[in-house]
Amino acid sequence: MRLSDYPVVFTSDSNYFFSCNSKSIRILSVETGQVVRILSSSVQEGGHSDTVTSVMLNPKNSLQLYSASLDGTIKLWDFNDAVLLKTFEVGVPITHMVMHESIPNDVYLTSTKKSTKRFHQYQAKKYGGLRAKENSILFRYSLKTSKKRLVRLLKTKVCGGLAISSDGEYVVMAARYKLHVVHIAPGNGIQEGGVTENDESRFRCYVTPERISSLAFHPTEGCIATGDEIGRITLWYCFGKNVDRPVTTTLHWHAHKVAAMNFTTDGTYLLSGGEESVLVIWQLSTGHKQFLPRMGSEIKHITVSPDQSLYAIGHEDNSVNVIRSVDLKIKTAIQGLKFSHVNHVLNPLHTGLVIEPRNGHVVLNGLPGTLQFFDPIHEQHIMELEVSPRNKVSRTYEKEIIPPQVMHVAFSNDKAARWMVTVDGRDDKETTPELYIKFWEYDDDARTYVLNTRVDSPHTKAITSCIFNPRQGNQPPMVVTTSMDGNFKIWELTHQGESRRGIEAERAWSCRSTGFYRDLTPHCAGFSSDGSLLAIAYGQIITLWNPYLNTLHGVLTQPPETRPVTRLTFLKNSPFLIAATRDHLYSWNLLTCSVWWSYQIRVEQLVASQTNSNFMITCTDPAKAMGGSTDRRIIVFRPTSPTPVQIETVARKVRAVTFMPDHSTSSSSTSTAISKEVSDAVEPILIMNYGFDLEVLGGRSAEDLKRESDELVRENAAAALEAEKQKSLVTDIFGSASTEAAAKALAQQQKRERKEASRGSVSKKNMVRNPLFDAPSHVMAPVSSLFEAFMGQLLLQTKGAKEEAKAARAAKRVEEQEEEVKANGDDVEMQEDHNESDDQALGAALPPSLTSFFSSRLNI
Amino acid sequence: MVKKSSAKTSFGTLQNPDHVPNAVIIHSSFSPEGGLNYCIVTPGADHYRLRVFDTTTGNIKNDYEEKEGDGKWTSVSWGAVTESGVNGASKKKRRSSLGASSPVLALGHTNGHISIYSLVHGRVIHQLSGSHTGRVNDFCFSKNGTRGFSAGEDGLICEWDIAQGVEMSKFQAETKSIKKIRLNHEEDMILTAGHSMKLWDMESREVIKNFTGHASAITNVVFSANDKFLASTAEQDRFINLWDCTRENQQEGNITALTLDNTVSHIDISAGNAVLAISEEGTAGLWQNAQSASGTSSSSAKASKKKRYTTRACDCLVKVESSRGDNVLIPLLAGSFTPQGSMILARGSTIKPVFEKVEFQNEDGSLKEKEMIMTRAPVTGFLMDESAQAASNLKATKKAYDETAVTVVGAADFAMAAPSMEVDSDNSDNEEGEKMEGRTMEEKLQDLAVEDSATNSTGKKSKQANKNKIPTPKANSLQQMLIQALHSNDTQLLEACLTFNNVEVIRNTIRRLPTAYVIPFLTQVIHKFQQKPNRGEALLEWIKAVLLIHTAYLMTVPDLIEKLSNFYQTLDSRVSVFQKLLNLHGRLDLVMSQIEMRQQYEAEDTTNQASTVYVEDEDDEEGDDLDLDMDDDEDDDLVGEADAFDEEEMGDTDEEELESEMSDEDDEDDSEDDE
Repeated sequence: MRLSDYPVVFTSDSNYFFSCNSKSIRILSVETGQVVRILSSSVQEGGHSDTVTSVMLNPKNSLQLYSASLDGTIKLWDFNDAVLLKTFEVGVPITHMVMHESIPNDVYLTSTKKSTKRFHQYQAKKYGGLRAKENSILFRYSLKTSKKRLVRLLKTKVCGGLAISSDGEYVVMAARYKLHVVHIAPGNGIQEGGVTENDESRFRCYVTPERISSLAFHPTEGCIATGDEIGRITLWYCFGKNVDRPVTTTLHWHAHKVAAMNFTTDGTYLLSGGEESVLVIWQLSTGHKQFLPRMGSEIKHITVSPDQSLYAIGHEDNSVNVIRSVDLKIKTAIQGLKFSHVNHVLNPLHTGLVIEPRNGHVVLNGLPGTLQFFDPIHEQHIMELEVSPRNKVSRTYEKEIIPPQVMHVAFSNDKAARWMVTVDGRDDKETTPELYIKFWEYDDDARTYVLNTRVDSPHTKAITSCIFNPRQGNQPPMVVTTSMDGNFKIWELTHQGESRRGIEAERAWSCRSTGFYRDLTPHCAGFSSDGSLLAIAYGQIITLWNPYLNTLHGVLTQPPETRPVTRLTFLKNSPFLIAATRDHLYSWNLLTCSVWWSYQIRVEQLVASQTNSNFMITCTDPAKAMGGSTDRRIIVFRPTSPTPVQIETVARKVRAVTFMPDHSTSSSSTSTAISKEVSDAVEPILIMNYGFDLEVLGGRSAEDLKRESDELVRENAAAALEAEKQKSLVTDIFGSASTEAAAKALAQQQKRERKEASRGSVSKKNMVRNPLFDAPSHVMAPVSSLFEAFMGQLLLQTKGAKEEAKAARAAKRVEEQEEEVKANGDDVEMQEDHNESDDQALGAALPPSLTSFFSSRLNI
Repeated sequence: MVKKSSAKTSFGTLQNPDHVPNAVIIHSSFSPEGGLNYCIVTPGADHYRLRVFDTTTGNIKNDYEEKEGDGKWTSVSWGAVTESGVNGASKKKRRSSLGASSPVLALGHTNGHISIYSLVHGRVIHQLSGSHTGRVNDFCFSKNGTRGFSAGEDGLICEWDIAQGVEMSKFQAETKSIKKIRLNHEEDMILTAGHSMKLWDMESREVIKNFTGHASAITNVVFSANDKFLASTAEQDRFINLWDCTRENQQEGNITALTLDNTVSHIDISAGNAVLAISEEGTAGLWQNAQSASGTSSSSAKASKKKRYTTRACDCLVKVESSRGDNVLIPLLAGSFTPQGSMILARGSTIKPVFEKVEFQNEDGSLKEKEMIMTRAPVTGFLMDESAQAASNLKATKKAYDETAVTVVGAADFAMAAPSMEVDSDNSDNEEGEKMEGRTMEEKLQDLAVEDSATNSTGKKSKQANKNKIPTPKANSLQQMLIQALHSNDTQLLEACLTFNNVEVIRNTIRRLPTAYVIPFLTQVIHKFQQKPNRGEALLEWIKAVLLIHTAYLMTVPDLIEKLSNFYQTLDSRVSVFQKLLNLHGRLDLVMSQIEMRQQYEAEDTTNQASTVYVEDEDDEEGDDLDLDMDDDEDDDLVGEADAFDEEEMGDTDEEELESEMSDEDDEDDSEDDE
């Protein structure tokens, strides 16, 4: 939900207002602040295909709405019925649009055009299009005449605002330091068609010493108000085609840029606002000022309702406040996702999307130093939690103040989500960096999280991960943090002091143990679902620890590759550990300590489901990656097989992704039989898309999956049947297409098996030899007891190695042949080494505790 | 006839407005399907006031009073319409583009009107009128939101097309008034309830079943999720009757009765057939598998009285007590099951109810406990600025940083980095601590006596030794004082000892300190050192002396490393600042010496300075203006661009200066404010 990108527009009865929300337009009720209707909700039904930049009521019919978009169309809507009435193909992306009732068939609009200069193109490329130098062109577009509809009037720098006078005589346009005034009224020797580029006498340009940041036209008089970068408001009187130097008046209160300005409907007051978060109301006749301070966030847009009873203020933090003009009290406040509007370069989405288990709300970075709790289904702001205290001051100098950042947030896994842990800090590269871990407990009375323990500088360098131990039961909660300083620390809730009569002992978190491995840097950590095993990735090595005793249990090293493991997660109720490096995805089976399967794929994100053993990754679309496509894929896997369960394609980069708790299914799972089935289902996926907006992609229920697998079986059967049927003399001699396919499948199967065999021995080697040299000597069994097993292994190894080499060669040959055959084949290159029969056995047998398993292994 | 209710709070049903001057709550209920909204109707001056709360944030969403008309509603019922209603003056048939249906409330009036109030629009969007002659007692919506059924005092049942606002059909169901009307989930049966209940077939409008059994007027009826049975409550009745409402079973079908201690005001049935009931005193009862007619043993007596009834007391009683310890019960206002398998309860005052989701089941579906007593703080601070509802809502969702109840953990509290901690040191520590604290005074005294004598003897010995060696006593040792301070845990005395900073005195004292006191002294001093870092300089001398002199003894102490690890970490964390401080010191040194040098230089230089300086102040504004007007070159010269490339690049590097001068660099201007 993007509320305050563009100014809102009121309906003529002031009961509702329109808000441009990327491709759609929302109609919100002033009374309740809730969305009443959505226009342009889908492209299929005739909606806009790009951002809607401007909306305005039809001057002739106040029940109709014109909307202009960057996709180069103007659409006319009946907003009561949400019906598209007409589409005008303008053909240029529209950034601003004005029209007037006296000239009902003409629309004045501005469009942007990328600079054609080589240097600018180079710069645009370098800065990713953000700093692309654009020129704005003012057009006149005719809604009626069929010939030459689009007339070019003026080319300027970036357009900072477009306004039309109340009598429809002038159009003004602000372009950086210049104010262009165009006399558009017909007559005076101008033909019926209106102004053209050649009527030079009709264009006038005034230059200002500061860059113009906002523009408004007086509703009754011939007066233009412009606000500039240094906070001055200039009122221009007596302008026109023959006037070189208009009379100006300056109003100055703002310390920073005047971001928004508007006159009240009768023109007696001027409202202005900016970075100071103060709404200033100027009485124009007397110059008297009235202030509405502490608006909560910087003001971006100001709109006045037609009956002048309401002001709608669009804020920098993606919210709209509707204010009653009588008592200047907030009537309705609508809050969107705050993160959509913060400076994303300074404040990246550190936390990602975290689901709070208590209500299923999503938790993410809000304004710097805060967390926002948001209900993605109802698009409702729930709570803003301040994690690090901060005085909201507007800057005094040009330099931006570096705000504190919330780096990590995690919730304890019990259903009530009693504990929350946050990591926040501030590093402005000048003063000493601050770093805090904060432990919060849910307070039933306050219905929020209350700070319980604050740890000052828990690590000497940045914290790379922070996760809860998911164990159940009455044990105290446990958190592990890993840091760039090489240490990982385990934190546990302890009782301080003794409990006296009736008064519980004070509870606080303390550091239980600190661990390190060689002098490597840990990048990520994961707990097994029973909490008995802690995996920490150091470079390309994954270490397995007992979190209670802080002992190293095992070391897993990736096959040949030397890239560091960047993401790591255990899966719920399954002995699999998923690790992702920069260009590989591995599924480790901890029962055999071997890689079960792997993909060569560029993993951007890795998220495990909280309810079942599904996990998902996001990656670039491998099929189209070569062509520079921006398409991303979200792929859901089961740990046991490298075949994806679900693939979603998203047009642009996915900022963050998570599974949504599915409430509809959990309700019916009263009996265990049903819940088992549910455990297979793919939950809905919540993503933050390229435009920093939340989106829910559908999941799949267990029934769907079952049906699909049934269908697959049936299809195979049908194919076999077909093959039987097609058996003719010809096919007998030359072989039919389907038998060919079958043969291919067979060959592939063989290849897989062979590959699997070779891979198996490789991983075996890793598993037996590497831990021996990686574990500290004092935790190892005595050498004398190890000798026999070790030597035996080595002897086997040499024998196996030959076989392996042979097999590998054979596999390679087959592979080369195969590669040619299936040149057009799969878009994901698989490196499978899984075995169907093993697969099932594994799913069934899960040891009671992974720790016990590991200790037993080490005792061998 | 409706009995006049004298109860302080009466829920669920709507009392005759003339009869309930004291009633605090006219109606309170959660919205169906998850209880996201909660509506409460309270009496105002001359109309009722309807408020709808958002249960996730606890904020007021809607606040509605009907200013025209009598404004005292006779029924309030939840529903959802897919057509999101009228806007403005247009009256065409509308098609909503909102996929989801929007919640509405049907408000019945005494004059037979029904208003459909939309929560989204915040106003009445449909008016249904013209059919009922008397007051409307109840209304219910079909699931898809297109139809609705109303029941009136006149015994009529009307079917409405909500979007059109017209009556579709009506029939006389009873001669007397109908209090409640319900549709079952399948929407093939209608239930009407006055004093007795009738189950109607939707299509044929024929009675399927009759249920009789309540002595007073029925206040609430709920169908189970599978439509197998229904539950009903009546005025001044603490029984919840369950009725079999399947078509097959043609018997009268009273299954069982559930009992509470007080009049039942709210009932709800979960998907798993659990029943939740709220009593008027504000407690809640839970029954699992309510339809199974297994009466508890205690109810056998009642069973004989009410011959065919088997009654069941609740499986779980839910109460909320005030956390102030005055045993005040915080009343529950309403309750409902959520689709997630928990229940949501509203409690507290009608002005600002508090909503809480409560888990009542374990993972396996069994009840958590027999009696669930929650201790919660009573909500105070009711004074609300009515004019700034939105502002207060805004403030309520903003949780400021609060550090009042925080424990701060610093660098000294971390565990040492260790490869392994097979021996769980924490536990052993705790045990020791407990042992120390667990001793009685007598034991302590005994210890004291023994140790006293021991120290005395050693003291004497050492004194004797001293006498033997050095005949003249010296006052350069604080040994006795220190021992005394440590022994009696006298902080003042210890502080007095520690004020000495003469190295010789310290060395002497520590040398003579009996080994039994070395560890206590060390821990004390280290503790002080951690508490007040500023004292480090003085205390370090003491610590150093202990470590120097008693090294041999300290090495024999088994868990010394642990005890000293804190100290070590404190020192470590402090030392880490040294580098920065040294850097700072270096820079300051540089600056200071430069200043000094300058001063020296200036002092030498003063002789050369001019005695008077004339500064010409000039006004260059006009010149600027001229510059500004000159640059108006608008059109791009496309041909010349490529040639001008290098120049532009030059221009761009110092764009900032150029901007202020307003030269003709218009085309290079940056679009920084693009975002």
